[in-house]
Amino acid sequence: MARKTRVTNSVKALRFNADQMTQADLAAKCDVTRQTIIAIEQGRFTPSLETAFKIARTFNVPLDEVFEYHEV
Amino acid sequence: MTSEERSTWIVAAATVLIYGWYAIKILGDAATTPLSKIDYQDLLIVMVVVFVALIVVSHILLAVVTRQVDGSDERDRKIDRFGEYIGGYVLGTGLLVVLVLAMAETEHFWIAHAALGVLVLAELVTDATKIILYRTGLPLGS
Repeated sequence: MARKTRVTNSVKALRFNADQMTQADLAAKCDVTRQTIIAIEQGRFTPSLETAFKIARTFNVPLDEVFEYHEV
Repeated sequence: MTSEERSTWIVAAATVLIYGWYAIKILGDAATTPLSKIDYQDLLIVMVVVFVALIVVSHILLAVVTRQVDGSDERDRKIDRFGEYIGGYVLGTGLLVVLVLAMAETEHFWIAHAALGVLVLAELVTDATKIILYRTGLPLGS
């Protein structure tokens, strides 16, 4: 079972709304591998702040529209 | 699978294959010679050279076949650090055993093979940790 982080995201939905951008395209724009984008979307990996900003800027939305932090 | 994860699998497989072969060879010689009297030095050197060569060739072949050379990203680096961190504990603990053997003036065959065993075990624990982390994700807060 995948280990979930406290940080959730809507990367998949944003990617779909951005003309169905592929994971590979998003990965290339954010300087990470496609597998890292997959892991982020599945909640198995929390990106660094820098990568989080890159993802938000790719979709042209504020950071907190992409990522949410849930108190335990 | 990223190039880094693939590389981890290659190293783990090569470790099991080559060191397993070495162990079988040494234990085979033990049928005719007491273990501590076996001339293992040349075989050990050959094994290390074969191990390194196997890893290099495997990486090259895989890169050619898959045409995938990703380079590592932040997730790869985090997983690598965590794997090395866990393996480091195994290595440190195991080296205490080697130290005790040396202080007890044990025959060098046993000291050398205790050190080798610790290195192999640490490498396998590191690789297993990384593979598990690639599949399940990093621990919270790491």
